[in-house]
Amino acid sequence: MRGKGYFLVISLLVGYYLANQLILSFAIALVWLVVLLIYYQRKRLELIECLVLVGLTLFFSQHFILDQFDRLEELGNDVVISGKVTAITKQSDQQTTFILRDSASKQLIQINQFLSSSVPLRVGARCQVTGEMNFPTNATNPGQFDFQSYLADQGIDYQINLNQSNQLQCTGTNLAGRLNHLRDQQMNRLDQRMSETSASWIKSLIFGDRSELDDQVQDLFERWHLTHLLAISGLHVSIIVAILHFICIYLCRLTKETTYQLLITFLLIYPILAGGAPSIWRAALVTICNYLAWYQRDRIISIDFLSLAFVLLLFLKPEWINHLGFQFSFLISFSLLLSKKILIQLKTKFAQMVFISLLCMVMIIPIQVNAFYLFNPISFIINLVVTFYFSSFFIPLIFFGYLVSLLFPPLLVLIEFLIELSNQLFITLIQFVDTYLYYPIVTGKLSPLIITLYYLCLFYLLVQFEKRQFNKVISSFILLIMIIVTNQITPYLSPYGKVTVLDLGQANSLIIELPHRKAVVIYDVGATLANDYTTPTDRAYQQIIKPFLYQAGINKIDAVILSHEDHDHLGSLPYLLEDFTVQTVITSAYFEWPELLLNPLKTGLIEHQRVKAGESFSIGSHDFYSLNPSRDWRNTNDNSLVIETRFADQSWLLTGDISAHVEETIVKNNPQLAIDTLVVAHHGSATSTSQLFLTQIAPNQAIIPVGRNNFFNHPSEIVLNRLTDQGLKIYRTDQDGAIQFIFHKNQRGGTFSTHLP
Amino acid sequence: MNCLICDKQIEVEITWTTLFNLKQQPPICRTCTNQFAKISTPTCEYCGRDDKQTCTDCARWQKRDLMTMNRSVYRYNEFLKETITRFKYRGDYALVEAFADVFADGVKNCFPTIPAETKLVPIPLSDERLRSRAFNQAEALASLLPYQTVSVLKRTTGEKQAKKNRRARLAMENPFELSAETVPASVIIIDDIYTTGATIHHAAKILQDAGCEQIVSFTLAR
Repeated sequence: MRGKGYFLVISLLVGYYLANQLILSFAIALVWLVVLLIYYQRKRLELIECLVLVGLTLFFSQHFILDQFDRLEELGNDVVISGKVTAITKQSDQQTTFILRDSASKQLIQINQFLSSSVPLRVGARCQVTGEMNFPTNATNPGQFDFQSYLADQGIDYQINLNQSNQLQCTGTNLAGRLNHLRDQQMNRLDQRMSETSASWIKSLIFGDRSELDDQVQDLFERWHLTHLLAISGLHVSIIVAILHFICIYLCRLTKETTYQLLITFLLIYPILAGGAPSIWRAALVTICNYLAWYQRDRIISIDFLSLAFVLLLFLKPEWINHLGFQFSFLISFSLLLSKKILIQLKTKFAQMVFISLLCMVMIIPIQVNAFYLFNPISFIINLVVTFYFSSFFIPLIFFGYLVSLLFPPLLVLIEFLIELSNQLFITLIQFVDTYLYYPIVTGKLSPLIITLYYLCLFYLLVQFEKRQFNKVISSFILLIMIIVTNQITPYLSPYGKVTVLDLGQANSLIIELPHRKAVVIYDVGATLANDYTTPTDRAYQQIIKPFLYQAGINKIDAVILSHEDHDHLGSLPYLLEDFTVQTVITSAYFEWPELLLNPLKTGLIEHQRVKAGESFSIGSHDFYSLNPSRDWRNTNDNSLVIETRFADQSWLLTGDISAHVEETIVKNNPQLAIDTLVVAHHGSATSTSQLFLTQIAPNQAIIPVGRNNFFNHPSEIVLNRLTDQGLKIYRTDQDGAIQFIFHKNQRGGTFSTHLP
Repeated sequence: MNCLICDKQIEVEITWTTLFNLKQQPPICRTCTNQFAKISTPTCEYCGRDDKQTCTDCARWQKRDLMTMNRSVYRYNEFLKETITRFKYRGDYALVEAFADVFADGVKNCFPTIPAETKLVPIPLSDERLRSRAFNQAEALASLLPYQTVSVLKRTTGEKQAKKNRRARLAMENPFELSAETVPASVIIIDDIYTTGATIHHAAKILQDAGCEQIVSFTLAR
């Protein structure tokens, strides 16, 4: 198989396709079989090699079926589970999350312990858990991170939440657990001896624990696609190995053999000490292979080793195939190795670094974009500088700092000073860049077709680059950009429009995307409160509103209409204004900015329009009619800006939080008013949606934006009965998740769909 | 796989271009490949050499108007000399694979306009020599090319060319005779080495006399 290791990788991926029965998986498997036959016939592969490859595909087509255990029958209160701790995924003062393998069913279960654990938990411990077993939370909105399928991708279908310490009893540990314990000890020691900043950097760059690194810093790293520097990977391993190599050979005067034996042992243990992320296992395994090859006096074919590491890791941890870090790590390693010839041709060190930085960016764009819906095109320049800075200065400094803390503690003051200083300078610089140069391209979700075309084009480009056919490189680069542009203009070409009522819990937001993306209009951007019912949070915005807009490829909003001043209708506005360009904010004539929420329009960049009943306004040549407030009701709820508008000849009424007497005034002033879709006022409270109003406007369907198990017991039974009696189709965000209405610009009517089945 | 010439392990390089390459890996390593001197643009339009401007021999051959031109893949340097010796005198038949790609590519590049029904005429060995060597090196080389090989020539005398000096070679009588009744209209004469061109032109003479219209020759070494 010499030099043919990458065929294993392809075989394995075909197996993955078969296991998940993705689109065209059988066609892909068939094509793979034909390709193997052709290779066999052309004598590129021998018969035995073909058989191994087919066998591998078949094996992994079973191996990747993650959920192959018995279903647990019990789901509910006081389930008793006993098993072994396989991993600890989160450990902080407030929460410990770990994975338990049930000894009876072999099922993996996530345990969330919401209290500061008195006894530290160890991997490999046998535990008995008593508690309520349920399903992890699933996504109820498009674009929202789906925790349930995220865990299901790792073979975890259930979770148990623990609030009392007597619910959990654990004993024992194993080797991995002991190594983890050593890691914890080392990290605790760092906390005691060093300043917070220095300790947090050493912990992230040597022990792979990012939890104490400043959130703001992590956010900056993510925005500039620099997170790979925080994930321990080939770069870190090569630096650490180089330093250890130097120490063994030049300072301790050991032989090469002894040094390599020591390093191999170190590389088998270090991944566990460093948190065990896929990227570090990849780097460690490939480095070990290189040393073993040296023993065999064999020439090195790195791509074979990388392929072996890929197959081995997925054999041991099939769930890693869905792991973003794993995907990035291998995709980049493979493409760098394949670019060897290009890099040699590029002669100057600088050209090579620019090429690597650019290659890394374009290689991962599709994966990056499908996880975050955007990418930062100039990040590759920053990456170039920061990667250079990290690899030549910062990581060695951190490692040196750790060694000093072990060997000559008195010197620590100096090291700490250096770390703090360089950290300060670095963060200032990145913040500066972030303020002036952050222009992300919001792409939305990419279709499989676009992704396939993108990678085909990129492959062709790299082949031509290697052949030094620069004309073809330029034309394929233009084609590559065209593919992205095509994706970007798709919404502008689509004759379909969309109205989405998001499920934010007990808060409202309705998002209108007009056909041909003539305008994006948002009616209300609510926010929810923390568990204490008083502290406002950005949860609804960060987890639902922003991802929704990004996945739809939206970064500019033509108008935000705010019904009234309540937090559950405008609480997310400040965050929205930070990330998106908003042209106009439209409110009722009597709207007053709540004190807590500083007037975000002060800057003057955003137009503020006040509207009264009887007035109309037009956005993207789409008309909106205001039906309230006809006068100042001296009550914020009643002063809600009520909007009537038509999509595909269907009229919609957006009501804010108006109460029954306002509704009656509306129908009195507009006797002809007939509505197809009513967005029910005030989360279905009994004080609104009166019978008179319903009879008069005679809607066909009602949408109730309302939170699950909300404090107010919304929606009220009375209102629900009224709606049912009238024969309405009722959609509720607490039961259906986000509700979407899709319509064609030239057709009457459209289709409703709900995010939850 | 090990190199056919130096027997060291061949370093496989997988890059973007070779990733899905259907071609087999060449059976010789890069170090050995680099020791061959490939002829890229011939300086003599007639005999296809690239190390000398004027060939006195060629002027004479051209006057006789037996064939259009000769083309060769490599210069006949020390390394090639050793390799050919191993191939032809010591019976290392497998070495022919070492030339598979360059020989086939060479004929395509040197004679881009040649008709598809062209036939290959490898220079024959005498029966006696064939028995002692077990294979004809010219036939082996011809088998690498995508044209049909025909056997229309027969060697009458068995003298070894390599043992003769230049004058003796040029003065020699034609050692070939026709062994078939008809000859193809277009042929490529195939041999391992073109030195003075005497052998190839003897063969060309026979072919031309038998009615062959277009004759070129293609050899591994010049």
